[in-house]
Amino acid sequence: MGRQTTRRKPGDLPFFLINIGSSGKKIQRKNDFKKSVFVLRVFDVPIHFGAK
Amino acid sequence: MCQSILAQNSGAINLNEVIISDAQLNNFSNAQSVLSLNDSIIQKNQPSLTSILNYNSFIYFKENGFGMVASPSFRGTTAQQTAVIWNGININSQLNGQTDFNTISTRNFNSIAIRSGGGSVIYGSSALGGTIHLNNVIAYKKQFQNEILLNYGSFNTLDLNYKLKFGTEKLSTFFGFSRFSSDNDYQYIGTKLKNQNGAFHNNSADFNFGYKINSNNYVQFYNQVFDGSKDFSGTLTAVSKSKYTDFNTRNLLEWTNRNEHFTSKVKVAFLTELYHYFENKNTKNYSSGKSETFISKYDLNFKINSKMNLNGILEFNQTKGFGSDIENVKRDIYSSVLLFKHQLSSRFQYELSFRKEMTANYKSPFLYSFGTKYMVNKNYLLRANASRNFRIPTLNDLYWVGAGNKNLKPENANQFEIGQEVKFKNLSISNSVYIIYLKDMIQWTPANGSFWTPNNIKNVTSKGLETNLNWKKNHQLHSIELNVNYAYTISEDNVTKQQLIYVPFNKLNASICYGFKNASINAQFLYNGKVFTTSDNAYELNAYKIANLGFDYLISKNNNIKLGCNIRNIFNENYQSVASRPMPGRNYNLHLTFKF
Repeated sequence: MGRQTTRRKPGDLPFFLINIGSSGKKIQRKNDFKKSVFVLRVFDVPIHFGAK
Repeated sequence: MCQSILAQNSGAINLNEVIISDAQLNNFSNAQSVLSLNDSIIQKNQPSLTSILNYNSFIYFKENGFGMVASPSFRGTTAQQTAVIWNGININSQLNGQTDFNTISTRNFNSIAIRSGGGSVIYGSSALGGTIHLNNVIAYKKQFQNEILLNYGSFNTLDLNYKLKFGTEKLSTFFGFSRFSSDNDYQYIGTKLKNQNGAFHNNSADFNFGYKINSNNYVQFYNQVFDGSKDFSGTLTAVSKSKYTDFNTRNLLEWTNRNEHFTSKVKVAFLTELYHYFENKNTKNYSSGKSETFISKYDLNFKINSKMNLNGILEFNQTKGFGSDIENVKRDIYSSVLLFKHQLSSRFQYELSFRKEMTANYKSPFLYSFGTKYMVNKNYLLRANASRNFRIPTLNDLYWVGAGNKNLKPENANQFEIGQEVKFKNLSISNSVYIIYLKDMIQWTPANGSFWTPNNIKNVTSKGLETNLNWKKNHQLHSIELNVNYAYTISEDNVTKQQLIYVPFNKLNASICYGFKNASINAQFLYNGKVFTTSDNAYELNAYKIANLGFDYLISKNNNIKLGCNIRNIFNENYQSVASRPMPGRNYNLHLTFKF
């Protein structure tokens, strides 16, 4: 089937949570987060930007 | 030819010579709204659970393009707060806590029921917004029947189903196989772009076996295997090369013993799920995750007298998780459940139930539910219920390498609901209003700006109204049936007072079917109101309306060959269910059903 990748490093984005498009283009603008994050969720896992 | 939806708590199943594993759905759901879809409506819709529920229930769906990952919002809750119950067993993923509704093929089920409202006392974690019940009925009767369905349509979409039923008065066997595949390369309406990298295929096989040892003892075995692969399609602005495969197995062995006062069920279940995620399908690198769940359950129902029922359940649940991105873990959960039902008078009934779980992995809340039903007269019924429900953190939430949070608490919610049902001749109308107070909702947040980790950070209040209308009429060779569902939902963050993302205020669907002699015509309509796509409600997706039309004709004398066609999205509505992921425009299919 292929080979399993090595374990991701702590801090890497879980793929099920957010997937930055493989082309490097980013999809959805989040203005409520200072660094202007662009997200595309693979699964419908709740996310929240900004302070807790 | 228009048989479709059974309205509220009809019980639906005659227990004399058939066995349904999910006994509590019939016995302890009297104070809640339950909508049952029979196999006739299952066959009329596309094979995915997403499609059938989208057009026939209150539940709102988000779909990352046709056939892609699909998840529900039931009563304003999240995808992880709706439980899918397969023959009485909760099958939500242990890894991400939700069910991808496009990985459930509905063709081989006898009935699908939608139970609105809390159900954690009976069904455990995730049953906050409601539960979806997939049931196989084991019937002990003489039968031998084969059925083949061939369905082919636009975008090289193929839907195949074969079913074999064989039975005697002591034996029951069912085998079903279905395949659903599509190139899925539809044009995005109003552009020159096509849906790229959207092909998918999946195979699903079901095997059910029942043996009646004697009039008091039955043994049943249920099995399901799902093998699917889908390329994750791109969006309006980004091309995707990723691919995701699922391989899920479900096995349940059950022994039922029943006599005048006691019905005992011993159940043993083994469930597995395995995924592979290829960020670039052209390379051989992948991430993977696997879970194995072993469940043993003892269920004893004591019929105290003709008016009182007491049901106790003891359950042991062990889950093991493995994978490239989660630590190897094991989770043991012990549960005890007590259910009581009392028909206090010919008009008034109440139910009372409790659940407590014990586990070393998290502190489990004490759960309860209380419900009543009052028949004001033969046409009018009132019901009310209150419950406390919960959702446990998933294995991903707890153990994702470098991100999981082992200190997470379960989400918990208090829910209150009142409802009424009116039945008059061929018309039935039911309404429910509810409020859900959700505490400690788990969300992933970018702590320090980059390290994503889950925390119990949010409290949410959801409230709303659900209405179902069903009308049917048969006159000589004519039959007509109308079914309408409407849901109004407010689901707000308690601090910001903003509506949760991907929860529409309004959802409406309607279907009408007219049959004459051997022919029938049916139409479906779906309206989803606008949804917000960001938590500050600054961005939104437009509302959309979709209409489908279908024709069926029984072409043989003994009604064993049926030919039909469907036109979906007949008005070529340009719509997105999830931002930047356009859905298909007008499309067609032909189908042939052959029974022998």
